[in-house]
Amino acid sequence: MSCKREFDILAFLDGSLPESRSSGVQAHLESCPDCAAFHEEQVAFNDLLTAVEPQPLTPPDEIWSRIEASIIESQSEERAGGTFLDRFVDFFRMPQLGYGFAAGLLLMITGIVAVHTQQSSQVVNQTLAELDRFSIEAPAGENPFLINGSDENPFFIFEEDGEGNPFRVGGVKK
Amino acid sequence: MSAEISDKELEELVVRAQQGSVADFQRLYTLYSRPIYNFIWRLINSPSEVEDLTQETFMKVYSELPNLREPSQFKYWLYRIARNEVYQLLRRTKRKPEVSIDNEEMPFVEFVPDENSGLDPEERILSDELNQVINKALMSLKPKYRDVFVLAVIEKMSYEEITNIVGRSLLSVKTDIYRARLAVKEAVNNYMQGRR
Repeated sequence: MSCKREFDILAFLDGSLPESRSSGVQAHLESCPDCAAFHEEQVAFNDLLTAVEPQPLTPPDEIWSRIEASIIESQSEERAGGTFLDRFVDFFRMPQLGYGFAAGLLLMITGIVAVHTQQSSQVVNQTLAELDRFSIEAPAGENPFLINGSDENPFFIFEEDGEGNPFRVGGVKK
Repeated sequence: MSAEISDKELEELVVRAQQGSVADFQRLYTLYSRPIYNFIWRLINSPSEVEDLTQETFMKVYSELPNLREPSQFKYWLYRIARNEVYQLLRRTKRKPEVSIDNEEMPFVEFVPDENSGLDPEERILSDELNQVINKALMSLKPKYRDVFVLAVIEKMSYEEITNIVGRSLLSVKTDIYRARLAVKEAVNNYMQGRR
């Protein structure tokens, strides 16, 4: 078939082509022998299927009986508050449990922060105590940081008169 | 095959069933159990599993019905559920070998004879054999070809309705119906030539 209209012809045959296009296909079938032959084949195939198609089977009544029994069972479970599993799951859905959980979580976070703060303050104190070991006693008026008696104070960079130099006046600063 | 009820009545029935009326759900079952049973049978072709799958389908429909937003779409939704149940079984068991539609080897399938055809014995044998050939050809198709073929050619649904059920485009549905039809037709032709 050169026309490539098989899909349209089948849709036409299966009654699934819009009215607007059906008349076009109908007209085409009258003028195109290839498509007409294809259409004829498919009509014959459909007739064959219809002829050999068995009568529709009837589902056994037991199917509905089983479905009905299952519905009744689920309804009585609902009335009784559900199965053990349902009740177990429902327990965790209670709002009180959620509030309790949130409060517990808040308490836990507060505790962790408090412990952490205390530990930090201990570390700072320990560090300061360690620094105390390096304090230097020097005679008043002498700068303990002057190198080899030089007048040049390595820590005294920005201020000519030495005002504000923590290492200059009165001996030692920690 | 379509249910003998107007669209409006069906919609009202679905709404009442959604509200928990078991009697209305039973009416829905009465209307649709036969087409669904036959649809599943055509897809799976195993009597024992057809019963289980029909039951599973309607159980799922009952439990999910309150979530159906558009009662007017009930029929397509129902077929979708039935189709999904079949696909799940096929995936679980991996029993059905999927072969290409041009593969001539076809697996054995059980044939359910039609006792009420009214044909004479010779015609009956030919009809039975042909039906078996068609069934085998159908079972040899991939499920995606098989379901659209069954819906279009056997259930006589429109392509538009089929797209609602299988969730594919109209073009894809058309193409798959065409391929399935060619494959089944070829199997029938081979059989007929073999008889000559």
